Amino acid sequence: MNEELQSMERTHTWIPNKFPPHWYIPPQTEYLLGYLTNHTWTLVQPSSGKKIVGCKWVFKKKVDGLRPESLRYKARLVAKGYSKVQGVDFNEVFSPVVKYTSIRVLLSLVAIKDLVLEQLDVKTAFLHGDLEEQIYMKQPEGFEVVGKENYVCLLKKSLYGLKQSPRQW
Amino acid sequence: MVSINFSRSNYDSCVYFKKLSSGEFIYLLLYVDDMLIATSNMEEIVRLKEQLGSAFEMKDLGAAKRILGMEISRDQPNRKLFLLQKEFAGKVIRRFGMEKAKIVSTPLATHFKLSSTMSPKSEHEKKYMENVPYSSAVGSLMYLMTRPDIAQAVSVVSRYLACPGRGHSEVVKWIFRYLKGIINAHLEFGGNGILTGYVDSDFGGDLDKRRSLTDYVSTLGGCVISWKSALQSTVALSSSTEAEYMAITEAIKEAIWLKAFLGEIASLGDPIMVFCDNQSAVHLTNDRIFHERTKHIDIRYHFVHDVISEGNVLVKKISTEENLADMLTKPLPIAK
Repeated sequence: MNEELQSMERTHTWIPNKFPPHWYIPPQTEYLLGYLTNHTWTLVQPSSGKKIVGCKWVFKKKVDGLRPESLRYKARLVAKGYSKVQGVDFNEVFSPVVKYTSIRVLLSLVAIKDLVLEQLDVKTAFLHGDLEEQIYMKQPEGFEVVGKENYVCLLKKSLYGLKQSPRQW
Repeated sequence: MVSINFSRSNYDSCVYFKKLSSGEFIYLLLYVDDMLIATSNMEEIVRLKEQLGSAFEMKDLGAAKRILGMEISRDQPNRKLFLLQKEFAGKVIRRFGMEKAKIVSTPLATHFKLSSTMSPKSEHEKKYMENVPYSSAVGSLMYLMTRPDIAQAVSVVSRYLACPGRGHSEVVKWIFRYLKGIINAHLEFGGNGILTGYVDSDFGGDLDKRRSLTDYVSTLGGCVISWKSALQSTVALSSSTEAEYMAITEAIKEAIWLKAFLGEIASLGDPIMVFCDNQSAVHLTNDRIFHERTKHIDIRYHFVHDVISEGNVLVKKISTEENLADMLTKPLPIAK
């Protein structure tokens, strides 16, 4: 993904002052947005009669444990999925959530059979799922594409905040 | 996941497993974006990580230390694994301002007799309760899923979530005080792979509708893996046998699930012993004798007979002292 990012052209308007002032925005963010444009949504002319959901940036400070040097600023683009109607904009809502008993059964097996137990964390899990429904979203604030400011995003992949997000992947 | 020859468990859709050529299993457990992988062979883990890494962007967290706020620690020479929520418990105790409270030794004291008559009646009481974070405190307690010892107490206080009164919130405080005393309590896993169930009930223990409590504890290799303490949906009419019989039904449902699940993912499949301390309920499960006192028991509870006749589950009598589920029916000081 990184090479792909590097090879991308700068096509976005860059309005960093839409972000809170102390936020550091890494230089590749622009490219990342470009990547999103190609993979997560496509820009299309807005058509009338289709509902367009909003989106917004959610900013979060994150510290691992008590180590202040690990302080990270995270920005996350979320769709305002709460305006959506079941049957029209989404059909199924389901998250892959394991039963606690299953965890305990598995840990029990680990102890009994003396297995190796490892843990993995999937980054940006929601961005991996393909969407079945057609969803239009406004362009993210501060990152409108030059010359296409009034276009909307037709989502290809699910995004945080959509009702069906958790089950998409 | 299926593309790399993993099968999804029929009993929990977030558990994937694969049988390796050596006859061993590799397990993968999914929690939205968290994954646990377990197998006996480190090479298999490395290979699986590579396969997953090519499909998703992953962060390798190494040996599992914590999942869902539960801390995992291991004693490998003795084949033991411990699961605790000390950090989380400490956090909620601080959050609800109970860190200076005096500790108590029981999760629920016998002098608490809760009923819905304690719900606020006057405007003054209602005003007072508005400032009490009752439901979020109870919710935090429910999240303590490594603590079967408070299950009964939590089940009691959660009955009054809709309209809690001052009396109810006193009990919640009491549970926090108990929690503070034994914050280190943990679940221990290990032992052999034998599944056992324990059942108990209290007869008409709920003061409002006189419903009875179902309690069961399931153990694997002597270590607690699942438990439940909940009010029955119907009123047991005539005797504790009936309440107990309904509880056995619930426990058998859980036992069947556990047995099928373990059979599927680990090829473990001995018949499960379910222990109950009520002799007449045990008799009732083993033969179809109907008499005056039990003839009204709903047909749905008689599925127990079918399961037992298939030989998957055995119901046996046990003394109250040895019954693990007993601790879930009444407030007792317990040592886990």
